Amino acid sequence: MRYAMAIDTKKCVGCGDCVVACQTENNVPHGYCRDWIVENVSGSYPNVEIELRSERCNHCDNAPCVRCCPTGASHIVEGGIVMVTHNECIGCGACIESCPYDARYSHPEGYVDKCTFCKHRLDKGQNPACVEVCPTKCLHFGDLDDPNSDVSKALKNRRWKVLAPEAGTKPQLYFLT
Amino acid sequence: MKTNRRQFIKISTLGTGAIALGLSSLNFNGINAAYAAEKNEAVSDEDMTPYPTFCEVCFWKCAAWTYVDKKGEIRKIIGNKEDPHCNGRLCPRGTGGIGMYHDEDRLKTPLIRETKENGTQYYREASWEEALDLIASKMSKIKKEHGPECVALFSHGTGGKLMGHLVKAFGSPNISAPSFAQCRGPREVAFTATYGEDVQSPERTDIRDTKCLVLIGSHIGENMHNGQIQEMSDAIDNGATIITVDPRFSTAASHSKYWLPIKPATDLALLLAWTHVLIEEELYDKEYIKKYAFGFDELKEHVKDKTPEWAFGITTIEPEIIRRTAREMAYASPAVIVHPGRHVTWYGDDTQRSRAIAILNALLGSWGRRGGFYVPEKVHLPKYPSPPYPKPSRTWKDAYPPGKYNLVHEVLSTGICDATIPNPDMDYQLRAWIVYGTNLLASLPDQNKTLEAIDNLEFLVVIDTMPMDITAYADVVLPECTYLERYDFVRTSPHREPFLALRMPAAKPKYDSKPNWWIAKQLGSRLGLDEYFKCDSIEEVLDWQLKHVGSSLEEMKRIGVKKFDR
Repeated sequence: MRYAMAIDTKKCVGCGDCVVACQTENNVPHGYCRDWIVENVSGSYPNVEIELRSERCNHCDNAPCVRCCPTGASHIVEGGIVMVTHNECIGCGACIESCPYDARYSHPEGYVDKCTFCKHRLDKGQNPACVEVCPTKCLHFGDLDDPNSDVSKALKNRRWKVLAPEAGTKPQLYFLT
Repeated sequence: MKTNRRQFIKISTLGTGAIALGLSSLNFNGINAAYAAEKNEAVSDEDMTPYPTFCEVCFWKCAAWTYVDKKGEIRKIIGNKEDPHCNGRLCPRGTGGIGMYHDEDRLKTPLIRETKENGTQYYREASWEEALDLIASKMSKIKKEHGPECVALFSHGTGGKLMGHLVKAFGSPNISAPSFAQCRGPREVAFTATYGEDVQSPERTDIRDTKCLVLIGSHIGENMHNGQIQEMSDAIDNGATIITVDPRFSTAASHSKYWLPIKPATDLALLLAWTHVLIEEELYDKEYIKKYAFGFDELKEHVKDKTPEWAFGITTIEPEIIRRTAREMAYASPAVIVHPGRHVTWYGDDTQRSRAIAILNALLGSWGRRGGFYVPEKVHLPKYPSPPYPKPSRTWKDAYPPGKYNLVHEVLSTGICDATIPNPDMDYQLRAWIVYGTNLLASLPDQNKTLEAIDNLEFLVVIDTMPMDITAYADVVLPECTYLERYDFVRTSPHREPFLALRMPAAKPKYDSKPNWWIAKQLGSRLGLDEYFKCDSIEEVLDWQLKHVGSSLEEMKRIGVKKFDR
């Protein structure tokens, strides 16, 4: 099993609903977020393009944050989800430095926190909160090993890219272009 | 900006009359205030109780479930899957709606304006009893001295209906929503003039099934009109052509096949040129026009010289692009929508521009057609029995020369505002305002005029959940509880099929805030209008109404949203 997410940049409107839904679902402290929107504007008038991306932890196959964690708090669970065990984390911040996607933050309670793909929901057969709420349905989630999953189908039919492939992290967020 | 009579009083988090504290701004939207109360992580849905509601953050009014944990704390709001307004997916405002409930800056207790010996004004915390008595005595005094129609209500949102009931029973017809003239008013007047029916809310656009969507200064995706965004996303999947006219490269423009960066304020010229091309190249729906329209020859004559070349000089849009986009629309006809927009008050030519949009849609045969504009359906709930309202001797229009606002079919907020400033040419002057759920200093044009009107008021009551500009000028401030803590009238808004949605409280009102029903009833009783508020609770009214259409409050509490036969 390999959980992954595909984000359709041709449909995202950058509303930030994924961010708010994550905050209320996961009780993220005020002023912090586990996912965010990037608006990339390129070209010059009148030939302009905007790429909108809903970004979060890439749940990398080759995760630098896991390798550099001195206590083993950062680890990978079934399905390839990168997790942080809060009470094993000493808050040293090495993982924050090592992440090429800037996906982690220091929780005010002294540990490092990040996206979990809403593992507590996956365990019950539900989609992550961001996927479930997105008004444009631009987030596709599922198991890459299952050819019929939403994410597999999205990747089969479209061109896609990953972020910072040069970092060699084998990220599992795919951006449909 | 200054007023002489009423001083601007800031309302702070910690009390009254003091300067707003910096600390409060850190928690301004309060979304995660639940966090402070309880330091755990996600709570699973099974450990929470969902209560039905519909959102009050905007007019789309998506039905949803408010999730409450075992400690009685509101944790999240999730869209109701049965509701066609949202299909289970709220927008970021709806999802963040719990911020309204948790916000530490909420109005917490009734406030009464007082003046110190040195002339400084401040708010004194008051009991509901005292605040309501004061409002009732002032309203009665104005009724006696000037007539009941000298009290006006400005309102916005679902709860406004209850206040409207009170003010109508009191005897004033001057009930107005600034959102009419400042938002969709010109559009509704223009479409009524063209089709005999308005566009309504939510808009009757069948974006889901359209083959071509034309947006003129409408930023679906940035405006978060939920159902439309969802349907635009479906339309993209279905390969629909999107044409966006906007001087700015908007989100919608970035998802469009055509972006027409028009010179601001020249939209009417583009619309006339499109009309010209459709007629000149005989691309319009001839059968439809023959069957349903009149005045075609006059239209043809009018746009004869409105060529794309003529429009190019005005709009800076290439004639070839104007022709090509007009043809795109015609190829998609009748599954094409030239979107009427929502906030259409721009340049002063708004009604005529909206008429041009309505006429263009008629030429494309899209009104009443799949992929164009559907025919909306709604459930008609009977009105709870109550004595007829007293017939007012004057309306706001009587303050103006006859014929001044002939086309306006709702009460104009600026009309009320202007008629509050003494003017020897006007027959009567408004003396008191009740402002419910609308920040008039930001929702009426010409702020100086609004301030002048406020200075001339004998009495100003503001009912809201949060402090804002207008609360700072009130004589009495009443703290209403948020939509998550109260019942309201059942949502009956039109859609493809008739639906009802219920809002019920998910938690007790925080602080000393009260639901609008209670406020209206209490004021009604003090004004001798008990016969208009016979029920002890709003639940009785809702249950009575719902039972008349084959449902009940009990059932709606369980399902939240109910679909009816067409």
